[in-house]
Amino acid sequence: MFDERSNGETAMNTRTWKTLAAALTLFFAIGLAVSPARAQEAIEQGSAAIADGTVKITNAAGSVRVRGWNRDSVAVTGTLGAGSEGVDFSVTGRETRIRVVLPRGASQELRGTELVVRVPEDSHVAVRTAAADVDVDSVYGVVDAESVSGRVRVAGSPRMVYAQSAGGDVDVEASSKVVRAESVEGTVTVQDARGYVEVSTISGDANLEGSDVWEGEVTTVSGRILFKGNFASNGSFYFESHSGNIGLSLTEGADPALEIVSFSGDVANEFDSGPAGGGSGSLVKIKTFKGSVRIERD
Amino acid sequence: MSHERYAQLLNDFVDGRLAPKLRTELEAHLDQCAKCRHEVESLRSLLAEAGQLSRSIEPSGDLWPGVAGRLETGKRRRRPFLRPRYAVAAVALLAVAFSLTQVRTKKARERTAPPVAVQQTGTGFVSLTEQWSRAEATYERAAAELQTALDAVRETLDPETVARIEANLEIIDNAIRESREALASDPDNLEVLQLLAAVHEKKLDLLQQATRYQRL
Repeated sequence: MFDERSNGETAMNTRTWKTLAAALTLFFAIGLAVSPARAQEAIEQGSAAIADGTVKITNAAGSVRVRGWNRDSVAVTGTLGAGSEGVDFSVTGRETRIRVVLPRGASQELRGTELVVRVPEDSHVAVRTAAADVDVDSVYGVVDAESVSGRVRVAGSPRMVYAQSAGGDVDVEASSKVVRAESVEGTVTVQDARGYVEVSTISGDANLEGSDVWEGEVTTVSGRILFKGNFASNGSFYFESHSGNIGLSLTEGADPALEIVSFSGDVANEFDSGPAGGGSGSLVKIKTFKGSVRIERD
Repeated sequence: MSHERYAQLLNDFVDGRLAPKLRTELEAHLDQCAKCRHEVESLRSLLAEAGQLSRSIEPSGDLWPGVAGRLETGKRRRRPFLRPRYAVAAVALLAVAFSLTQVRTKKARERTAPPVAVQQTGTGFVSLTEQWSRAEATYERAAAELQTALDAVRETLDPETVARIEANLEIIDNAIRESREALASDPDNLEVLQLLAAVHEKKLDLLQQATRYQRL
């Protein structure tokens, strides 16, 4: 709390005791869980951790749920999937590693571990999964979440977000200054964009919503692109697709300079601002090979 | 107001979007809270960093190494989408760089010189078509190498993932074919050329990304 932090040494002492208590609770009450968890068993592991350290999590299948909390410790709970050998939990310096261990040659059917990981809220978090869904919230550090086929969701206010899934959908609902979201064929949705945003897909659709989008790009090959909102003054943004349709629904007051290039797609534009510049000073370039372009007022 | 609540307002504070009363209150908090002051400095630094990027030809080139450095030191893989992603292709593309770097950024927007259709070389002038042919050959070589790498790990990948990759490679190859046909009928169309280059990059991205899937 604010009052605690403003009381100098007393606050430090309080914080130190809280940290120690949390660490002791984790070490002894949970038993530190040094031995790996067994298949079908509950997972309970934890350790003290640096407030703004890095937490790396790997889980092939199942789910990974990460939540920031106001403690200097990392705690893992959940259920070990059938066939999994255990959870490796290690702390080295600033880094905490959590890895679900599978037997060699384990098939997809054997996997399915549900992890809930609580991390210090200022942590940087990196998650890698194959089929497991990823959900990260309430973390203020950098979030880097990547899955092969699972869904990836990042929310809250991370400093930066990188979210990727080849087959799963990617949802970023974070008020971060820098967001990069990618999928091959899943739908990518970025909401509350307010800075630098980069969205990329091949065949997946791309949805971007924001009121103060400053700079970046949305690119697809065949996926549809939809933007809703407005661009920051003097910002610049680029939309590109080979065959996907591109639609911009601009809020009242939006007045970007629009530069539209389409080789063979239809273009419908309710705005008349050309490349000479719109009133807001922002520049939006839209380019498509054969997709249609539609720009309308919201 | 709690520290946590103040922390949630820092983004808006840096943006200058807080109401005057709230801003004054937060400034008072900043005077007493080193953690929040540090966060404000970090945000401003981040914005400055991103601002630098956005004014380069390839806006995403230098951002993620910094992020990666924070997440992992030493042995982290290079992200496949970092630009320039493919050094060899990038070198080949330098010859047509002026033509390809269309207005993605404000800096490019301010450029007054028209696209350059020909570039002088040591032996004379080389047409844009020829320059592009060289560049595209480089893209294709890079794609072939990555395809070989992917084939080597194919059996370790989930069949659904392989099917997904192949389906999307087919979408990309169709796009390349259509763009090439358009370019054949309109060789000076720089916009189509840029779209074709972008699709090539998507293909390289996908292939390189796919080769990493078996490492988890």
